[in-house]
Amino acid sequence: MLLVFAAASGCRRAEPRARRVPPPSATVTIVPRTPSIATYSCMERCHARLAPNPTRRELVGFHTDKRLAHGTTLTWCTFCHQVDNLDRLRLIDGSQVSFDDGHRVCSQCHAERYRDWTRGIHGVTTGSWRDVGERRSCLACHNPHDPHRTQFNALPPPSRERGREQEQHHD
Amino acid sequence: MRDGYAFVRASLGAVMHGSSAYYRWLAFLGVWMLLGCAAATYQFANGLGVSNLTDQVPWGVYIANFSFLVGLAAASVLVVIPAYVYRDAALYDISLLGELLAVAAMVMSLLFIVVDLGHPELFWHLVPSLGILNFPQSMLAWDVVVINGYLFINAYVVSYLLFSKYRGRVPDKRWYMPVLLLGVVWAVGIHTIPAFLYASLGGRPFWHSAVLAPRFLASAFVSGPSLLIIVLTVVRDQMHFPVRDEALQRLRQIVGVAAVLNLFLTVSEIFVEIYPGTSHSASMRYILVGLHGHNLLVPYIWTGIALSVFAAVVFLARPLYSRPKLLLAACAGAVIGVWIEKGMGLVIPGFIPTSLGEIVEYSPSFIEFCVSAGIWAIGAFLYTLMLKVAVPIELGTLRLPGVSHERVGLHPLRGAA
Amino acid sequence: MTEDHQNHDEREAVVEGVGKAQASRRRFLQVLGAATATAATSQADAAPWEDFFQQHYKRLTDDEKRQIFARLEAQVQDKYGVAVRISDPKPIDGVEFAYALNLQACVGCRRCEYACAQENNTSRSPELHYIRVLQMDKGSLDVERSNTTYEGAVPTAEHYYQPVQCHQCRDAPCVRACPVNATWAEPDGIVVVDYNWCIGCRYCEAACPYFARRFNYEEPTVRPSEINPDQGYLSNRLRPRGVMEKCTYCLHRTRKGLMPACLEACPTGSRKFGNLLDPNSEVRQVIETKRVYILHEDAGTNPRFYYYFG
Repeated sequence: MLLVFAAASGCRRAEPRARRVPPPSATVTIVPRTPSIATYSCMERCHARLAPNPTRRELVGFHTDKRLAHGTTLTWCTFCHQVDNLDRLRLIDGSQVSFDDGHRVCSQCHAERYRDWTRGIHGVTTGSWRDVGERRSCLACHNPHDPHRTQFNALPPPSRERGREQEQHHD
Repeated sequence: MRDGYAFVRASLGAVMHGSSAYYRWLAFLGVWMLLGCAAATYQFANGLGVSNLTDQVPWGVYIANFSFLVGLAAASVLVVIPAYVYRDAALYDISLLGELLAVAAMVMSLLFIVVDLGHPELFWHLVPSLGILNFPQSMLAWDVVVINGYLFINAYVVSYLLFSKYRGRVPDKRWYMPVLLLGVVWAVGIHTIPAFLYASLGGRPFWHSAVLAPRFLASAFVSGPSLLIIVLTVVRDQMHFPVRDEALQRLRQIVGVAAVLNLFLTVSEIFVEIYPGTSHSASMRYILVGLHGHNLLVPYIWTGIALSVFAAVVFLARPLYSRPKLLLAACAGAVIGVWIEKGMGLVIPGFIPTSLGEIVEYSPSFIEFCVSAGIWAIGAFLYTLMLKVAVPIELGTLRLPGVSHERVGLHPLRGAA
Repeated sequence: MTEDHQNHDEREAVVEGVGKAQASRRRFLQVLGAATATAATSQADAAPWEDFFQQHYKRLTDDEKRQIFARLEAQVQDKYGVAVRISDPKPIDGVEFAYALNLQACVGCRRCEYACAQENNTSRSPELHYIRVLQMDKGSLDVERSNTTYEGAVPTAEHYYQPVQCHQCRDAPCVRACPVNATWAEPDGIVVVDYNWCIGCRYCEAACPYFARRFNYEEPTVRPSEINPDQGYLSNRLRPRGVMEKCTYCLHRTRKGLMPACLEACPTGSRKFGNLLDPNSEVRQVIETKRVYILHEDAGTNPRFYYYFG
């Protein structure tokens, strides 16, 4: 009986403990968005040559692929885009931010999500858990114009697995 | 030392000569042994991939047989306790045969463990100091200790008794009684530890039951003595060994009680699992009625249950058990019933569904079947040879030259010669 | 904490010392089998005995480890024609690794599963994946109702997804079960296997409540071109047949400060990895600000793997 308790207690002690003082926390850099926007810079490419036109209208010729379906209030470009400088985004208070800081635009409504994102709970952080982590902006995953959840094509289940072959066999 | 040499020579002589039935029996076993060896070699060369085992069901027919065989060794302790502790003369006569059965069962158990290993050649990792035996944490390490210990205890006791009797001497109690009594205590471990091996796994609800160890004991007390009744009948008819009817009846009483107890415990287990219908009862539902259309083992387990019920009825009803042939059939039914219930009927459902809910069924591959049959043949072969030596020594016909042929130690109270 | 065991020349010398043997355990087995009619390859000589007599990882001196790593590297070179580097990064003081997985974000695309196989050199045929992604019914946490063979577009409206891999338990049933201590928990919490010490009894696999352990029933096969040459002795080196393997949180990466391969592959950011002892780490933030749940908590395993919704 004693041995049984020895067996039970022995296994609880089996694991050595790490020294409890953690190394310094990782720092996080936010991956800039602009290099991955194919049509950037908007001003240099086109808009510098075009007169700003804040009128709501049906877009023809350009940006026809942009379906704006973000809630009920975001119904026109200039809500988020700075009308006279389309390389910048616009916050509600009128200040301007870069596309690299696009998450600040999102944060105005999605405060709770944004807080989670700053803590690394929501969103993608890759690279290193110890040194410098690379965090993706909201816009790396979410299309701000049409932010409904997209579907992925699942990679296939491992069909050459031993059990799987038999499983199908029995089915 | 010279006596020892003579003993070995006499033993070899005894196993070399026999009736034609004896040779035919050995030849029959030999064929299975060869087949088993070939299959085991094939498995060793190609890996366990030749089995039908999967990550979902990592244990199969080998471990199932192992579980059954540790129970079979119960035959030993159930004749040893009445014979040596309560000095029951009828069982004393046959106690040696029971202990030999334990030896054969332990050898088979060990072989079944060895063939189940991915790297049997690395068994030395289990040897303390040379390797590392994770004792007392691992229940498998406990198992290694109890099985090897029980094999050693029984092998020592029977060797000592036979050697003494061969030399015409009364075995000296000081030399065997302490070990024999240790064996009685050890026997509890040999049935309990394998049960704990399963029951200790909190992640496998089917096994994680306090009643598993009592079930192991109860079923062991059915299968061991039942097989011994069959063996004794054969030995009496074929080798003219005087087995008293009392002995058979005493064993029959033991298995009768044990069979009822075993059924009762099984029913308790089934009730507790099925009535509340928790998600933990999925394995029990799988084995009894099938799960989500998977029901490979359902006919198998019901065959086992039917055989166990049949055996229990025969063991308890005088008009039935007084007919020798029916008694033998009941014994065979009990052995097979327990083999099903404590073998694959216990091991496989533990893995179905897996802890993530997957269902992958299992039945042994041809190779697994051959290896298993081969190990059973090895056990039967070994037991036959041991009987071939032990019976004449017990009868007094095999003795050191110049020693009285009087039978020795037939009655522990009277003593002998 | 990168471990550089020795310079390259030294290692070359050790390889020479071993000779051109490079016979794997498999060949050794075949030689044994030759006596009983199995065809034997004739190349085996001294090295199989070094495989056979190799001591437990924890009993090896640094020098012996160097020789063993060189021998293993040579065996891979011989068998696959690929130059691999086997390292042995040590646990980092003050670090206890943990994982958190966002069930609300996971879409069940299985990218993690395949990235893991690639990183960890697991067998492609038969396929051996450390990660199982369960397609769960909305409204239920019961894994028994899950489906692991779903295909096509994910996520669907009726399901959520729960990837399961080794939970690196604090009270790991597998560690307790192993009769030869071939698997143990490292100081940083990672449960590892010494593949050369495992005897292949599969008791750990029976003990694991997470279906996290995998056994090499057959010789693992990986195309030479797909072998990841950056290998850890206790993690992703090529395994022999007949031994257990499992997720190690990619310790050959994570002990060097990198993220596990499954996390890097995740397109949804469902996977969070870090130092549990660091209050600022993402995993600690998850535990402190979100409601986490532990799979099979009733099994008493105290895992270092947390599921959360958020």
